[in-house]
Amino acid sequence: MPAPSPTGATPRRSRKAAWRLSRDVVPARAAAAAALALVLAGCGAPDADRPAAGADTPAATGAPAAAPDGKAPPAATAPRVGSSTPEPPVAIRLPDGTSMPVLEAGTTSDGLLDVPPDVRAAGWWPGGSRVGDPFGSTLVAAHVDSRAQGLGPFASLLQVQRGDTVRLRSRRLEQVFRVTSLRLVPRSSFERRPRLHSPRGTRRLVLVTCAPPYDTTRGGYQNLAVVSAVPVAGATGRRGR
Amino acid sequence: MGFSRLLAVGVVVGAVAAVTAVAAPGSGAGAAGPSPRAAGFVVFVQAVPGAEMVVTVDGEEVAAGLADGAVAPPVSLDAGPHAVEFAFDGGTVEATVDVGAGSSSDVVVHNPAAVDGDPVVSIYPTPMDPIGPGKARVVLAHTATTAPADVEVDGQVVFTNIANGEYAEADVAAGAHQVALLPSGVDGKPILGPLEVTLRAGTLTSVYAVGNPRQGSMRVIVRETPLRGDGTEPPTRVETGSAGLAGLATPAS
Repeated sequence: MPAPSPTGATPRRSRKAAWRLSRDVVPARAAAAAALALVLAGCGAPDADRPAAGADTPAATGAPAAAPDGKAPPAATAPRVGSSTPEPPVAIRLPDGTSMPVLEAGTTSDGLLDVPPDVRAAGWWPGGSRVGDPFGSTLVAAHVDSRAQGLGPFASLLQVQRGDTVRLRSRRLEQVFRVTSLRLVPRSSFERRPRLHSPRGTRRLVLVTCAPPYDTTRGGYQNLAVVSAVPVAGATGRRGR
Repeated sequence: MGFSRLLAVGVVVGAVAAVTAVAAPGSGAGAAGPSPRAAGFVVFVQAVPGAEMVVTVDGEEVAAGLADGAVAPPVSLDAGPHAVEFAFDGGTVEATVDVGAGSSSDVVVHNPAAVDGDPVVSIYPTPMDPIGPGKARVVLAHTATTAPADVEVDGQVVFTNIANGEYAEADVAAGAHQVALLPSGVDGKPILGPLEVTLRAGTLTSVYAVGNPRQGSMRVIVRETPLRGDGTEPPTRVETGSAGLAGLATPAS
């Protein structure tokens, strides 16, 4: 009876591919016609009353040294690899160099994006893509001005140029985006523009604020400035983190 | 250490697992004592091609007739270490699995990267964090007899250098996606795919890559788990300015 391969907790490995080939493994080259069989195995869901495991809940892991019968080695815990773990943005640096904190901006019961009232803070819709997500839009908005504070940093976006850079930061990651467009759209059309915040499509950063004309008889600013930006590179670890 | 099994054992015929309702931990037949014990859920996945396995936990059989590609119904296990054994014609594979309270995991028996290596047991999580609207979560696990792989999704390399016994995870837009495995670090045709994988909104899809590309036997084991929504709703209105000060020309400093 063949003995099981000794396994232990899988250590972190460096991300170099070539040297990890074992002697017995020929570099993978697909057969001319690989037979693909999609095996769909349905799995009943646990009962709805089962408490959902939160982010901090541990998975099953390879057991500590004291196994029940002292013999079976611990199963290896598969590590998550291949990409950065996405995180919510916490700060943004605009093309003019101004840095602002980024807070969560949820949706109120009547559909309003709950942007921070302070013009110096930006709001991020938490249903969108995070720093490190591979696809989709990150929507970040801020007040262009307020009566109490005057013009805010997002007012500078009304003069943004194609090619300007925006830096988005999370707790451990940062990503640089390059502006591809500035468009003015009617503020009333926001509801009909789901791509501004959708997880669908290529990775993008969308910055939104109000724009002229300002009409006190019709609720204020009539337009939105929509700045679209695409990643210059993937999200990387922040220095020193 | 006790072992509470709260559902009927599902006997798997072929590659399709029977779906069996699972009671919440601490309820239903088999729960001992007045208070629910801390427990976690484990799903056994048989990813060794050509083998039919019997799975025992702490000496009790929990699943039989698991052909390759089979996924057993979820089993509730008390938190703590358990002796797991996969038995098949070629031998047995034993491992100790430490179940965390409230955890959800796949315990997968699979071949290593090396050809003719003995099967190993790896624990893959089922990340159950709530998920946003219009999104689906995918776990891509490497359990194939091949070198590390990159993963291309919709034509874009999204994950790199995933070795046997490791996995990648992402939340993406729900819907159909083209997924391919490419050999890391070498030029070549895909190890697997491109194949279309449909990810339904509000679900986790666990995809196990299995087989040996040199034998033309690469395929996937796919299973779907529902997730809770995180409660976010898309906004329909934006009000981001009220003083009428903004101008499109450069403002005077």
